[in-house]
Amino acid sequence: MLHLTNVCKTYVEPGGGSLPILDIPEFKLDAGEQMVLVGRSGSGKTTLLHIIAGITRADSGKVVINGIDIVPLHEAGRDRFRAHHLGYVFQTFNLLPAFTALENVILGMTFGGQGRTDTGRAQRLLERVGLEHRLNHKPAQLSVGEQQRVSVARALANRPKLLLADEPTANVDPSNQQQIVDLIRDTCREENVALLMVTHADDVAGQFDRVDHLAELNRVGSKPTQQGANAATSSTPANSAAAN
Amino acid sequence: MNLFKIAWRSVRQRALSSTLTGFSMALGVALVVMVLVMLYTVEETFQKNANSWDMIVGAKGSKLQLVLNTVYHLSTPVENIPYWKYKELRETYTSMNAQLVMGNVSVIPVCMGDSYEGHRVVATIPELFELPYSQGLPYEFASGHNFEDRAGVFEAVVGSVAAHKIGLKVGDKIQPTHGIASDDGHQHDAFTVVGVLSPTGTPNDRAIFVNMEGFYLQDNHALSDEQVQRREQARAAISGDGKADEEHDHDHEGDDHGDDDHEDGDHGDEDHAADGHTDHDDADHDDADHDDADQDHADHDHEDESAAAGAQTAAAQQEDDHDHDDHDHAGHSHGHSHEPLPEEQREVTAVLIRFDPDRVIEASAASMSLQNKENEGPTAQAVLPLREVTNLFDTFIQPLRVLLMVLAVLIVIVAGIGIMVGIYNTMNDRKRDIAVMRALGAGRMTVMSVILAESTILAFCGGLAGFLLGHGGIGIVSSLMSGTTGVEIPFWYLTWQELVLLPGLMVLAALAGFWPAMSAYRTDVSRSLTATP
Repeated sequence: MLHLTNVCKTYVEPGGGSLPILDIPEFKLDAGEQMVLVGRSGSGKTTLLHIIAGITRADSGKVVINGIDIVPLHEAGRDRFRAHHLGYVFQTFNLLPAFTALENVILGMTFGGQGRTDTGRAQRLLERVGLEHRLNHKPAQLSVGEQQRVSVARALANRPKLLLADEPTANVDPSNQQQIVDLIRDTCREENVALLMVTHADDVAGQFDRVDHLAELNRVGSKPTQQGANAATSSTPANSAAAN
Repeated sequence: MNLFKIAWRSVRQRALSSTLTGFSMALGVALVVMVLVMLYTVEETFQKNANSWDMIVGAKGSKLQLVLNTVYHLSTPVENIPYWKYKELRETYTSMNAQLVMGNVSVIPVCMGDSYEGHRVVATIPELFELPYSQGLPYEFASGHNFEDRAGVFEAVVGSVAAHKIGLKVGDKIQPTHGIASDDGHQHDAFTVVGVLSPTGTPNDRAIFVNMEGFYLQDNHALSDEQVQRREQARAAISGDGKADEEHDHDHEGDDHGDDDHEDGDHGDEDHAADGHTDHDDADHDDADHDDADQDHADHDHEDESAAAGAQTAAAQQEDDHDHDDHDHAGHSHGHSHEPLPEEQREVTAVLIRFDPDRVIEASAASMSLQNKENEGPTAQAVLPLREVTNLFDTFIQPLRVLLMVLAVLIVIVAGIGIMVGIYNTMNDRKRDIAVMRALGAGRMTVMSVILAESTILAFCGGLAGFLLGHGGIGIVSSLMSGTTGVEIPFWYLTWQELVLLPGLMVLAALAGFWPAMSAYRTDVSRSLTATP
């Protein structure tokens, strides 16, 4: 389902030097499989998710999803691929504040290029995450846990084959963390969606059969992790263009 | 969910900023609309009114002043021409033979120089109101009727605006004042309002029309014997050897105005019958049937009336048993005769000619011939009012219009820049939203289109609001204008320039969103997503 081969990513430092972030010889995830990827802050977890999602382009290697290598695709192609095949749950939810919960889910379908949006599916997804009474509430009117549940529903709107979840419980209070994890896992299971979740939480990781440590996958290892994190979030436009 | 809905939500999300940005656009567009409509309406009104007469024959001098004075009731009054000129023109164009060639030609004399309550008094013949004031639009009376030629010598018809502003109605009496500069000049006898015109949207709405026959019977409105004599000599000279004897010089210098108690301003060159002021000593009051003339004359110099009285001598001599008991001259009876003033003592300010609209070729030939004849002769000049007004607009109004349009367009461009800055300033706050849309699968062109759609919405809403605001403003200004000028501008009045320019400006304003749209296009998704919110 997901097969990474010799994926490398190096950022260009403002001074002109290069800063290797990722060098992953191989990484696989089967269809419908659920796994957790753990690693220290700045180890390149988010960069890896961005590469898999096509948001950031790998410098080399192959990122094959559903039989398609997205690395050679041009940006618009990666955008379309992402819309059709991937779901993404962000750490900070990233709901659009001008839209209601229902519209945020529909928005995911809009960019999915399905020609028309399926409001019924959007409603069912929100009902599935327990928000049938919050369909027309805007994010500011929802609790943090509710916002993340909307975010999960939105990520599944286009019937993706792979769901990427970037520390989805990091900003959720402890009482809601387990609900969110269960929700993501259950809905992925129901929709037969492979799940790759990044988390810091050991209790969350402990619930998964497969837990991979990025440090073990990544040849770059743990050498300049903090620098790498900084580079990933403070690269200049030119650098990030190169990264993309 | 289409891009415009996404953009609309974004506009609503920033309601205050969007409203202010749209409002600045609306003000710019409203200004453009108002400038366009006002200029074109004024021009159209001017040209329509100028077009109501094909030719004006009046005293030599400024052609434009002649047109402004006789058609628009503006500017200082012009000199007069002899009455025989009017008769000659009327004979030329309305005789049976002339009708066979040129169809129905209207020849209307007007005498000007008096005023009432700030409104011009125009002396004319009833036939004026039997003609359409514009193509296919006949005069209508809101109340009353037209004055009668002979039986209604002291009757008046009032334009709608004048009636409204002064508060005149049928049955009221008005005493026109000699001159147009102020109301403290010499007051003439009273005329009875017998009709109030319906609005025509022409300058005639501001005027008061009196029977020309009654006008001639007023003080200072008749030529003296000496002036008559000079005119006859001049006319004989013209018809004799064809050489111009400048009989038209009214010899104001030679006239004895010393005993004239009018304001100097009232006399100037507008004094249609200024010549009648001469030789007051010759006036024979006894002959003029002034049996009650010594009543209520404290407020004006009786000597001043002597010219008119002298002018009326002939009429009085023709018929001694006249009866003016029917007329109440506001307790101010001068004992004037109601007998018509002899034609040799008359003058007219201008003669308005309208050719048969169905005989275009004949009319064109006739107007050219008339122009040549009159302009080469010593007595009068023939003017094409439409040409004069067009020249005026081409010379003065056109550059002004261009200047105002440039200013208005600049204002809209500034509004467009406002849209650009307004959206661009929000781009920092929206980078995460844009990055999220990108992460959800929206391409660079898609997010760019959303921003452009947003600026289009602001430009369209601002433009539409400005369009309505502009026309609403025109409606308000129009109601004020029609009360003072008689020019009515319907608030829905549309100019073709408006229909072309406004969409163009809206497109321009929408394109102002291109810069922030490019910013959205270049948004670094990865960086924006990982940045701390």
